[in-house]
Amino acid sequence: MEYSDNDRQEDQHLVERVLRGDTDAFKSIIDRTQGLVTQIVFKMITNEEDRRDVAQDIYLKVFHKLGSFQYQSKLSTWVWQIAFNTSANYLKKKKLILFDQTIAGSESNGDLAGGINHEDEFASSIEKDLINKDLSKILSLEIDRLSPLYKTLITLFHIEETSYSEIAQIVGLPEGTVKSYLFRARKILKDQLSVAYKNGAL
Amino acid sequence: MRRSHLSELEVQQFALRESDGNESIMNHIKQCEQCELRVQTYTTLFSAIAGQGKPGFDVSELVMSQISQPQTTNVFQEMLFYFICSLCIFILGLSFYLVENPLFNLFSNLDSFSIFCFGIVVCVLFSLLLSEKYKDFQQKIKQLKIN
Repeated sequence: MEYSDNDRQEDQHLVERVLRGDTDAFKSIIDRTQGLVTQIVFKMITNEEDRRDVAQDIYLKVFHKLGSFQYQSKLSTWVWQIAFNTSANYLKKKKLILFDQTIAGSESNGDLAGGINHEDEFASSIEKDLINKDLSKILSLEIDRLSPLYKTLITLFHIEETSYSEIAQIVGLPEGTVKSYLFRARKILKDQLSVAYKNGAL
Repeated sequence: MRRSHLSELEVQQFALRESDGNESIMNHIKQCEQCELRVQTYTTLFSAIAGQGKPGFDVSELVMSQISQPQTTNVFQEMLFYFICSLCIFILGLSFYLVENPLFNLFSNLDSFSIFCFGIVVCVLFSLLLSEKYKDFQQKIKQLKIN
């Protein structure tokens, strides 16, 4: 992902201001990055109180480590990396699973042109009502059922419109792996919604 | 035109417009209702995901209150601080110079027990102050501790 000279200069200026003790500059970093940090924390952590603590912890780490920022990526990407790593560490501490390898493996087998059972009916049904409230509600529940890593990837790509390369930097995985995980996550979601339609939830 | 149905990956890529205008895929979708529906399913799914609400969560106030605000370099404040320190040292030195004899007599006239008591009180107060400072330091370190 491109890190233009303008972006670098802007980041340098902001970091220097924070290091000189300008707390307003740090607030501006929070304002710029908070949206995506919140999304990462919300998708990775389910406990309401812990979310707040982890979000605070993320920014305290950013503040503490800002002096060692190397300008190898955008400042915002670096903050989101810290957000992802802190949330992943939280899951590790609580002995929760970030990513279920067995589910991912079994889902990848359905790559070929199968799975058109209830899909046709499901597609024509949702086509009639694109802004179906039930669909939105059930989709939200189905997203929550995904593993934390899949939830985060889906959110970053489809809601926050983050590029593959930036997602790869944030989660610390190769771009190809990110694409592959996203493919599986989308397929799981589509299959789960098809099942929900079959069961009459939609 | 290809005869076989599109793979799941091709369907997703087409719905995401990542197929790079592959003509054989486009022609197949035009001719195949099943694959067209599969693309529509994904397109609908993606717009539904994009329409999901964003969490309303503001931590800026909490974070800002926890960050120990480093003093901004105010030249006037620094000068004032050094001036007050110098003034204190000067007043202390002057007082000591003026009351040197009475002060010396005050301590030399005391018996050893009184000096011992005075020393104990000073030591206890100093230890209490030190432990309080240490607790405060530990608390601040805990706040900034990196996991």
